[in-house]
Amino acid sequence: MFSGPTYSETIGLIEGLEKLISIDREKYKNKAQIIASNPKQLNDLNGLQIYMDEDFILSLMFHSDPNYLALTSNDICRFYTLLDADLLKTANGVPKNIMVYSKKDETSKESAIITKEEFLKLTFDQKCQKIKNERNNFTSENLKATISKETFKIPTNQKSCDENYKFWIAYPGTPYYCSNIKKINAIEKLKKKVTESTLSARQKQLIRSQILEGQIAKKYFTDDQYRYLRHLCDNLANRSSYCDPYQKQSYWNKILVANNKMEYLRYPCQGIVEKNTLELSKGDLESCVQAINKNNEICSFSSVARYPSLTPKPSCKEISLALNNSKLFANYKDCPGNIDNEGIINISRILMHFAGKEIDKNQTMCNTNPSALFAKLTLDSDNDQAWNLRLCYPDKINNREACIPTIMGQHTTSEYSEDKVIAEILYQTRGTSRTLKCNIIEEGEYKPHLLQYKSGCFVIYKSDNCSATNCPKKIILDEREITHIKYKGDIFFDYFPNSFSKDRYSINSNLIEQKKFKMTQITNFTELKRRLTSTDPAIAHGVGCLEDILPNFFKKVSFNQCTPMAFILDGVMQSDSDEDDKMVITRTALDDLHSPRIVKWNNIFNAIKNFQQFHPLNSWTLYAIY
Amino acid sequence: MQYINATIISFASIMMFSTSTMAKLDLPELITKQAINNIRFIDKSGQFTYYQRKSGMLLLSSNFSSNELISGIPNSNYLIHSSPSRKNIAIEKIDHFLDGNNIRQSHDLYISKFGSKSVEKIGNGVNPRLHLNDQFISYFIPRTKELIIHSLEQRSRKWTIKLLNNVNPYFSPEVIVLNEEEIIYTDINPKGYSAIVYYNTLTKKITTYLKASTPGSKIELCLNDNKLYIGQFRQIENFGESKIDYIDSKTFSLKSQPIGLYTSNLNDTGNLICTANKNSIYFIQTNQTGQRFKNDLVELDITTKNIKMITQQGDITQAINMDGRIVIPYQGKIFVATNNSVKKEEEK
Repeated sequence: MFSGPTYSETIGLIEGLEKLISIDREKYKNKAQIIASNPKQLNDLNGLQIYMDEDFILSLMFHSDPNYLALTSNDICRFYTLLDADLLKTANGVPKNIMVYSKKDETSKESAIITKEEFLKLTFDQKCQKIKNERNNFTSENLKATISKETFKIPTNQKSCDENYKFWIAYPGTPYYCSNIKKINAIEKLKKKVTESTLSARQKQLIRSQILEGQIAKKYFTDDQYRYLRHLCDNLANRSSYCDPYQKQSYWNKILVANNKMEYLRYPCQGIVEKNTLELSKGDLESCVQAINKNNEICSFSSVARYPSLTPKPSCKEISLALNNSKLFANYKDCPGNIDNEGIINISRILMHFAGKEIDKNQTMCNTNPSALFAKLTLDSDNDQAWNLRLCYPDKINNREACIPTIMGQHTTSEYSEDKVIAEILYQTRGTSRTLKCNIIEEGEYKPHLLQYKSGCFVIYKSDNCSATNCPKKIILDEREITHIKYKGDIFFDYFPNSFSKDRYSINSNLIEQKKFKMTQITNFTELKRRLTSTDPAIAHGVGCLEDILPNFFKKVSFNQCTPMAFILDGVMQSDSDEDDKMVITRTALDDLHSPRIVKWNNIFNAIKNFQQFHPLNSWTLYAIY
Repeated sequence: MQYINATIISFASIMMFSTSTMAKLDLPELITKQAINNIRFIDKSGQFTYYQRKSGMLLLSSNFSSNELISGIPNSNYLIHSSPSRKNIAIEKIDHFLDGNNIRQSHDLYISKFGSKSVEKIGNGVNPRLHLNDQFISYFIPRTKELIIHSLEQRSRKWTIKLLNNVNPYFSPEVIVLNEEEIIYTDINPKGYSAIVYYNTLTKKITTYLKASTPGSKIELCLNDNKLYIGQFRQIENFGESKIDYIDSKTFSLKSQPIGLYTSNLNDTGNLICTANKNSIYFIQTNQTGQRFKNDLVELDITTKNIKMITQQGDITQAINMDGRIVIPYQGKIFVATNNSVKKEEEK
């Protein structure tokens, strides 16, 4: 049934194509006339095996949109689906009737014309149960629910696009989606056509009902979903043309369309459109994306005051290209410039990546969340050497100094949140209420002459001398300064083991023991590429000389100068035409979370190799973590 | 490639230039008797070697003896800065080099006479630099964004300049003390434009001398032989403008117009070195081959303006001037790009 046509005329020449169409039309017409001259009813064919007429099939193949034919996959049920969804055409347009034949025996063959519905009842309904169930999802009663469950995934790189394309080709519902898109697409053309005076009233009525169908279908889809599916249905036959816009499309456009990973837009756009809130309207986001697409450099200094990090950040195009090849989970924000500990930043990013959950979008959390995550990891690992920051007070009952680990600043859920620890100590030492809440405020906010500050607990800091790891504060309780609570300790820790005896106190060891992460040393680009292009969430982290990772930003002026810097690699790029052109998607701990840099692999290698010379154990400090 | 015969012998180190087959660059590798990663400075004659130990100690080796200069906690790291005047050296002591994880931490700073066994602590900050015949020192305090400049002879002569920059928390300014009244330094404005700022120590007035034409460019300053070299290098993407100009530092005024030496439409890495010799400056240049961007050390002749490639590796990131000798740290080894001191030895 699906073998190729055997035309005697030459196939493939433009002049021949018109002739072929004409021949097929003639053939179809003649066949129809022959069958009509000896009409058969459905009952006449009862009990017989029904087949679609071969010339009819050829006509369908010849006149139908190749995009839809791409969905057949040599599967008869898929072919019937296309017929059911009105996506196939003969010389006379979308068929309402099907030319069929039946065989009583090998020699005799009876032809007939039956309605499409009758044909599908005899074939599709009987032979294609699985796909038939799928059809139910696209009835007018169920279509809305079906669409709401669909993810309409936006591909982010070549691999994900290939997978995405294959999914839609194989998915039984695709013909029904395309059928709806076809109806929507036809609305404007039909609206014009219905005004033609040459049409009969019946024809006009038919067109109006088609317009109505299209309008009903349109209501089920959002604009983004319609655009997504229209692009899909227009490119089913050509995977390259399907994927090309996604590869070239800016990351910003993609996430706006997909309405996914919006944090990558909200945080920079907050600065670009100059709003004080992260809850930006669709209009704000669209304006922002327009601004990004027009001004490539607008990303380099956006939102830097709120979320300080190394600047200039890359250009919008570079960020877009990097994010298209990046897999680090980053649906939140951190503030490297406010933390003053690059190891904490890097570790918290790794923990968030594998946790994969959102955090409180309160801006102060960008300062405290990395510390909270880090403190929990180290303290749960009994590594109090790493997190030594604590609040201490005289324990008069036991006649000693007691200390409680703390993080600097307020955190909504962490038990180490500074306000909670201070409140606890005040309860222990001053008998204050268990419900006492201490407010951490900036020096300029504290106005003791105002009534609201006359009572209660206030913890006051100076913003220009404050980071997440070092922020001396004054504690005021009911207008009196509390002096018996002292901040003690520092944060010093080995990122990777710097000595054999203290191996278990390194943060890398804590990640393995506490979080059960696996680590594999990465010494070459091939291995790195294999890890980072896998579908699992593996990323790589390491420590290297900052001046070699980012030589445009940091200069070596002294012999054997090297500033150890933690970093994360979460993607690679390699030119097809030049194998040596190897780049990695890099975030040093100084970089903005949503603005990764594209760095030469050789720079990374150089950085780690140079750092290795200063490492007490001569360790190679780059690992895949998964 | 030439095999350099001269060997400079000191008590603690024998320094050789080897054409080892393991060298990745087409340059002689610097090899020393003691572990090269412990060494922090070797003067051009080889007479003085500053080196550190894992115990955290900084030592000076000279005249067949070794003296402890500074002690520290285990794994402390030291950075040594000298100037062409060779009267003093500035030392930055990084206590928690491996476990501090804080690039903005200030460190103890020391000064010592060149080759002397005694050191003196002069402050707390980063990037100490010597100026004006080693009579002045500058350093930066990252947390407070303050640039400190003071006389080494009259400590009371001290100036503190607060930087404007609030867009890059990791920015460290370049400083040149032109004379006892005039200081120029780099800063960044709230829109991300770098600038050279002029400070008059008498009037305490601050004036912008030169502003970069686009945001996201870095400005580098280098002074040698009365020529102040100004490098401007974009830090965004690969295309933009890189240029190196110079002005006469003796006749500098706010109206001085820089004289062009070099331009490129690619973003060079920069990292200017101008104090290795009077006739050339060195920097990391970017070149394009197809879709690839390659970075190499080049020498710019300031008279002819010709560029000579010192390396052709394509992935050079840094070059350091150690008392007239330009070295390149590359993949865990040190290579010698120029060695004016050895040439002098050979000439003898």
